[in-house]
Amino acid sequence: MRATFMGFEVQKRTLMMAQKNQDIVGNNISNINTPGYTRQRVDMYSVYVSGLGEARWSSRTSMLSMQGQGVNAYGVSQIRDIYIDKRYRENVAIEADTDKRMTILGELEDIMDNFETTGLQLKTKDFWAALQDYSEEKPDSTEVATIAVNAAVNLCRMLNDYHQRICEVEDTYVNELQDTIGYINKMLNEMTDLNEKIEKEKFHYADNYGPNELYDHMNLYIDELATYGEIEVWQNKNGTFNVKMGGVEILNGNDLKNSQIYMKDYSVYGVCDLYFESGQDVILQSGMLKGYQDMLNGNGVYATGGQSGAYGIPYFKSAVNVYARTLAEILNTANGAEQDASRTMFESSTGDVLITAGNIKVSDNWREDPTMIGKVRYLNEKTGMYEYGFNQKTDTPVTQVKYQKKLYKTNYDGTWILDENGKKIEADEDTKYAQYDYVFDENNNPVPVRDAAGNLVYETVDGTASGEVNLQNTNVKYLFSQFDNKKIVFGNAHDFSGSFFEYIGFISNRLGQTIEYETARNETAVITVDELLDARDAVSAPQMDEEGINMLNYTKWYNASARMVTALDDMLDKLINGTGRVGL
Amino acid sequence: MRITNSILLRGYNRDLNRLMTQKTACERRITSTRKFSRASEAPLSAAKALNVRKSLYYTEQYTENLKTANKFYTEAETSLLQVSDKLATIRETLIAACNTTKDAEEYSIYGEQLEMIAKELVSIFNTDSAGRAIFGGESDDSMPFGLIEDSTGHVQTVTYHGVPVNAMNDPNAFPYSKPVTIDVGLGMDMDQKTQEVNPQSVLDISFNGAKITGCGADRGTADIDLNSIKVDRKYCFDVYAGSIKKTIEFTGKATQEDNVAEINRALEVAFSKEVAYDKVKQPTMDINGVIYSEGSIVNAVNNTTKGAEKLSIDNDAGYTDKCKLNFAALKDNTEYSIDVTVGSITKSITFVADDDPDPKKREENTIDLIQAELDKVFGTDDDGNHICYISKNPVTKGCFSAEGQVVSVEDSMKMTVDTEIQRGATVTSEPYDQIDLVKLNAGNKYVIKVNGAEKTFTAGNTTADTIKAIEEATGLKASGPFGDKKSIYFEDGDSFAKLGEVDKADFGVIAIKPSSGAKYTVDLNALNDGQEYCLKVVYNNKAKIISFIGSTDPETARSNIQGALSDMFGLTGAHAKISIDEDGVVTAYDGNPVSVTTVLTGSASDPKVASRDVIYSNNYLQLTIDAARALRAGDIDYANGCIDKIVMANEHLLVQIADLGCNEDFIDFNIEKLTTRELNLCERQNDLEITDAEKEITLWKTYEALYNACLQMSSSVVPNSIFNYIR
Repeated sequence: MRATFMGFEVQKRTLMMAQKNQDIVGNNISNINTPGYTRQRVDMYSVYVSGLGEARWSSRTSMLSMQGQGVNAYGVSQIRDIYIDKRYRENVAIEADTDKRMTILGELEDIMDNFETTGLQLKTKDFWAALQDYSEEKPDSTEVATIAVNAAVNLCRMLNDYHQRICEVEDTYVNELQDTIGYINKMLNEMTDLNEKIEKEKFHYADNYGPNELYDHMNLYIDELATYGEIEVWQNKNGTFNVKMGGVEILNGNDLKNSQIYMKDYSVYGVCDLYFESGQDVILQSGMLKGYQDMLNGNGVYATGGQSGAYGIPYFKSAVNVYARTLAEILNTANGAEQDASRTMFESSTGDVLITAGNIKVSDNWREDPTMIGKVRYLNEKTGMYEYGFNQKTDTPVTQVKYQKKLYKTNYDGTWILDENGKKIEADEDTKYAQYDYVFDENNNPVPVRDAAGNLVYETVDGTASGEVNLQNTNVKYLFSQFDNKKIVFGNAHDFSGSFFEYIGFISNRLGQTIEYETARNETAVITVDELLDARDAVSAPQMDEEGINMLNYTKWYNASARMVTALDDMLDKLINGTGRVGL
Repeated sequence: MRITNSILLRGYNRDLNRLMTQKTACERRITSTRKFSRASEAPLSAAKALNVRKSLYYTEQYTENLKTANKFYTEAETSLLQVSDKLATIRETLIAACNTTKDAEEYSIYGEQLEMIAKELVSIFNTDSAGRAIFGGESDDSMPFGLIEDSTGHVQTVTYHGVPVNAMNDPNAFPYSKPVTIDVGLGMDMDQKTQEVNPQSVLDISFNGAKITGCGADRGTADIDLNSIKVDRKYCFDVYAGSIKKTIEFTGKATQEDNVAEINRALEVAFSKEVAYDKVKQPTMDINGVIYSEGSIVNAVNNTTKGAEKLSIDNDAGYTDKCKLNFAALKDNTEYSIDVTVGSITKSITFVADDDPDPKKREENTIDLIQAELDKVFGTDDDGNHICYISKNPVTKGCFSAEGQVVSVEDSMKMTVDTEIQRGATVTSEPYDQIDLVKLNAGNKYVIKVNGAEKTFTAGNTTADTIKAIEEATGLKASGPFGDKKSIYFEDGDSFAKLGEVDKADFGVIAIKPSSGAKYTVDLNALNDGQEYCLKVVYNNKAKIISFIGSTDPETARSNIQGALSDMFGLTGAHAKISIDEDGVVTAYDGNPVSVTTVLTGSASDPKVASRDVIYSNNYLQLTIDAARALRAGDIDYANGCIDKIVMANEHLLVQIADLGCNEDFIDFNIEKLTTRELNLCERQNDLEITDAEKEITLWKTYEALYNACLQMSSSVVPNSIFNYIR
């Protein structure tokens, strides 16, 4: 037997459903511009009353009385595609990674620019040209030599400037990274708080439903987190979210915990060493953190310790250092500094042995004596050493009478020990301090050596050095010929060997190409991300027309249901007020 | 796909942004005129651009370098063209001199002219360009070429960087001879170890003066005047042998022999290494002070840096005043007679050429015979050294010399007389007063009586200084030393000055060796009847030939001779100026010395037995100086020989000028090439780096139009929805 008011009950639910649907349409329209909002829908079902239960008003023999129970809803769900989410987050990581690289490398390129501003190539050329000019002038013409020194000073200053500005970029991004980590950690804490809220709220929801708005909020967080590194996300039964970054769990909704990211002191370790609270290293394939890591640790072939083989700030710092060092080494060696330290052209301003772009400077000796490099190299045949001078010193040997010499005792400082008569005391080979000197006769004339026949013996001794060269420019030519040496190994043979100018081109190219590569990756990622955003919006964003149609639909539905109530009311009225009143 | 509002808006934003980015980039390219601002914008173009820029820098620099080099070449060419003109003048002067009447004064004037031109040439070669001597090689010395004058103030030797130009045959052995080169982009090839540059890969901007003017000679020896060496004085001199320079220091010994031995010991030690490596044959000093080395030129110059005394050195590598025996002209077992003049003393000697089958021995034997004859007529000094010497050393073999004296040797006219008479005809004498220089102490004052007048002088540190001091004090010209190796006498007009000792307080005592007063004697008993004889009589430095008919009667012979003497020299009053007494002694009326030598008469077609030793310098500056010296000495043959050499030098010079021209062409060609290259590179740089304005502006217009179009669309980006239509 059907319950008398069942129809009302059904329509009451229907009206409510229509209203709820209308509510959700309204909600969708309201949030059409809300960031992170996922369109919602009421999950409706046709009500079915089971005949197996205890149905007081039903006949055991027939389920007829319980049919037509109308509509009800399980809850309000969100329309999301977790696969799009996953792909979006993967690509957004790449985008952020490449974007960071582009930004940092772009700043390096601004510093090391050779095109719009005066760069290393022009300064190196100025130095080379000054040497060329000097080779055409008299080696002792200080004016022209000073031009060469100044060109070298300017080259050094440019290298110093490069170094300083690269260090500034490094500092900037170390600080930025620290701030970023702080932000991520704060975000992780907020996400944990949100997880807690979700867990509490979820308690009130049916299994598959939960606090949609909180989920949206959480998804926004996750999207943002995805930019910092590649993540894996899954949702727990209690509605909370777990997130792994680089394979390490950083957010746990079950425990309501998160793992913070820490960075070792860069100023102490010299590398960007990131680790999770859990102690594991932050090892990422993409994301902004990966970008930071590579840019702060990437030292190419020069990588040591915690550094990587990427071409980051350290690599270009190294490259500039290597240029400075190689320039100094090659020119110092060419100028004979290995034998005679006073011939050093470039030295360290800090006293460090290792010359870097930061400390390279024109040596004091060279600055004080600009013509130092104009002095000609010649072999001192006596010592077998190279010596330098404007005048090549040639000892014209003088053949003269050989005089007797004897070993006499001296003090430790080389002064003679004299006997009471003021005469030198003879010594033997074993005497500790002794020196040879001429033997003098009573007239204080040196005693010559005579052969068996009594003839004087002659010997050839070194004469006074005489100048042989004044205009020769071989040393300056030798110096600038170093710029044509195509076999110079820069820092590491695997990196580059070639000439100075080629190396400048090489650094410029490497930087340019690295940026170009990252730019290309970034563009791809941006396009992909855009497409994925569209794809996600295609699924999850409210669509005005769609909502309008729904609204019309739900309005009509409501109207229909309301009319149904009127119909039921009419029917009941007939039954109650019209029944048994025949003739009234 | 569901198109949501967010998709539409995002897409619109994105596209608008992209257009704006492109438009801005385009604007930037236009305003900056650059195709790219950073290498990353166009890595390939950037890489190419850096290469092009580098090439451009190099091209610009090399063009500048070439222009610098061009300056030097132009100046060098200008100088050499002047030199060529001068060489033509030298040639004309020489031809004029050789065709003049044989007058000593005229020769001398031509000599002066030549010397003047040579000095002008030297000043041309000392030209500097922008503060550097063009022809000075590596040296910054503004005067690479120098002139050494002899005691008469005439230029004797041309030096290049202090080295006599004749001293070395290899121009690169001179100091400062390496080229100074610059890099002009020929791919400078420099040895990284030795810094040696491949000359093909660079351009010279210096010129080796020794190479351009020539250097060396056929042969050469250094003749050190052993008489100028004083006991216990220090001497230092540079010896060049086979382009090797050595400095030798020694102390003067008492005898010539000891000095020679001392110098030879030093030479042996000095050159031991080079001799061991066969770079040069051992330079040796012969007993006459001539340093020689077989196959190499030997020259010597005083080394003043050691503060030693100066030696009197005569380098016989260009013009030499030495006479030489012509071995090739000698026939075995034939008798020859030569007149040997030492200073102003002429003697005739006769010798028979040896007939040994070994040519070397033959020559040596002949030399021994001549030396014996020379010793007979000129004698030896106290130490037994030859007064007149004929060299036996392999380099100057047959050369006559006497220490401190010029020796001239001429063939005597042949006379068919027997040798006994000739030998008996004359005796040696010392017909003049001499000062013994050895006994003078440096710094002391002396008084000397010259022709009765007292003159005061101060002895100098060296013999030469002392002689100069005496010359200045007396106004006379010193000759000698002769006889005693350390004594001098003075010419006084046609005669010799009479010197006397003066003993005065505060003055040193001067030792005068008085004229021995020995007379020349003709052996009147050794003449054949009816035979014609010739005698050369020298009086007052003038030689005259007299001829007379011999007789077995000494008185007839005497009167014949007296007649000839009177004819030739004239009479003074009733007396003959030159007379011969019954003992055959020839004297002059005024007591001035007379020398008499026999003269042989012979055929003029016979090759000359004695002649000047001719050596020509390879350097035309020195050659000009030598021609001047020869002219002054009346040696017209030598001067004549210089004409060809000067012509050859000019031809050589023209080749060098042509070479310079070639180099200038080469420079011009390269400048042109580099200029073209620079233009091409600039064009390439433009292509690579400079904005294609038309293209960019068109592009910009397009972007702007697109952007504007986009903006116009903005009002309908958010489309009408169903809500616009429902009520």
